[in-house]
Amino acid sequence: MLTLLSRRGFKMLVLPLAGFFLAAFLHSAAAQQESTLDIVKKRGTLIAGVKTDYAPFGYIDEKGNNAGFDIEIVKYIANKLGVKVELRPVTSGNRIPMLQSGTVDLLAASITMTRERWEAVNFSVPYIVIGTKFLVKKGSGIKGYPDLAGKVVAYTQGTPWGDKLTKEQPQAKALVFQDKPQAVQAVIQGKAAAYIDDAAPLVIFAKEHPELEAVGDASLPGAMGLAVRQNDSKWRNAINFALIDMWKDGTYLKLYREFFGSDPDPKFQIYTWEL
Amino acid sequence: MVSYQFDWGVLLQYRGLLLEGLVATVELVAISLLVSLGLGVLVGVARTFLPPAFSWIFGAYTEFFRNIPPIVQFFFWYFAANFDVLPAAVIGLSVFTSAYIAEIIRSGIQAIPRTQVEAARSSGMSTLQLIVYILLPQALIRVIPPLGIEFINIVKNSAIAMTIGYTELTFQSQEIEAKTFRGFEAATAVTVLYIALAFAVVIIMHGFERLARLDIRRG
Repeated sequence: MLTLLSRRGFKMLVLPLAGFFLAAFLHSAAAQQESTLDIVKKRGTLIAGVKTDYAPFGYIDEKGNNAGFDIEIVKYIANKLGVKVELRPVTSGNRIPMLQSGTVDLLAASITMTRERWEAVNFSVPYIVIGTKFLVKKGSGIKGYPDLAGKVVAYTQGTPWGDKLTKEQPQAKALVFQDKPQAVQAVIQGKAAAYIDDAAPLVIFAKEHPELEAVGDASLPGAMGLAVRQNDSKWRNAINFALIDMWKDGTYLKLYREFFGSDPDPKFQIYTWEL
Repeated sequence: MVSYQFDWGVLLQYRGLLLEGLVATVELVAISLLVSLGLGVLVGVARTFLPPAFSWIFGAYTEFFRNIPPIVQFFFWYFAANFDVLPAAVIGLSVFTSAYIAEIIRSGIQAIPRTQVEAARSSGMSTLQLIVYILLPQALIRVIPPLGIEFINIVKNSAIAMTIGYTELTFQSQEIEAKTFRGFEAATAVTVLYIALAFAVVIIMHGFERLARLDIRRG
């Protein structure tokens, strides 16, 4: 056994490991003083992280193309900046690391703003306000957190609903998946009594699976924002100005009606900062 | 990203999650080690000794479960076959690995000189006695190194269980990342733990080999 921990064996293990971490650290520590706006304009392409399994925000249509409310917003912004668009699929779990590492310039991935998230990234002005619901089997009688005592509740890793569940219903057992379709499947098969997520996508899942329904309110309404890296006001401004333009020229209303099938909450607006 | 300020304190703060994940991984790995070895020996022996009319199905088993990506297999056992999380993870991991172990066992048995088989038969041993008393003991000792590799693969592939909701070590590193956004620290901690687990497997296999192989024992 000592032969294994001999000098040679250990060196063969430790040195490459140390080298790997050093390389990773140096790569991440490389300073990025340029604004993302300049980088994007120089590159000629805006790389945005979007969802691919979360209608109406981001999904894949029958032709196999990315589609959705978030995708259209990204295309509008890229158009305003005069650059092309490249879309990268992200999940609730990996989207913020993708942004922080520089893999994407922008996240249009149905991210609800929370204080914790603000400490890791920056957001644009809110571009939509949305509530959350429980996706349950029809006839389950579940209307809210009190009905979930002793039940299994599903959510996806990286969303804030796990903490919300622990707070509202500590007697529930959590079942955590990586992607949305698995959480839906868990409810269909009875592995979970409910799946907590944003309202509009759950309503769409319920339409696709008539044995399910989206009920109740799982949280206060949340404001979603497009995420950008911190300390990059130039880029954030560019995004916000584009969003304001989108609101002013009527594109926002058109897109919202197209993807949500109704008008936005009359109390919601994207302030134009004009006096 | 200008400069990354390390905050190793989050690992201390969330050591509970790391411990939970480690325990879950060890549990899954330990059970799967035993089940996959048992299944692998069964399939490998069956494939070697059954007449072709029957052995083909074990050959099909090997090809089938070796060539389908493990994540697909996990989803099958959890969603399609509707097992619970841990049973689905154990079955998925064990069946997948047993397909590789079966081939290893088969090659181990075939490496034993035929003279032993002939000698055993001429002493009146049945095939079953031949397998259990003569061939398997020798074969298993011979294939400890490649078996060790497959066992380390079990340690690595156990991470896939998180896709069916099993809250093992990789899952917990993602949880820490989701709560603190300290991905580098979380990944480092988990990397170290996985290496430690693999090391433990290697050391145990090494120990078995020295116990069993009288020719390399010291003294």
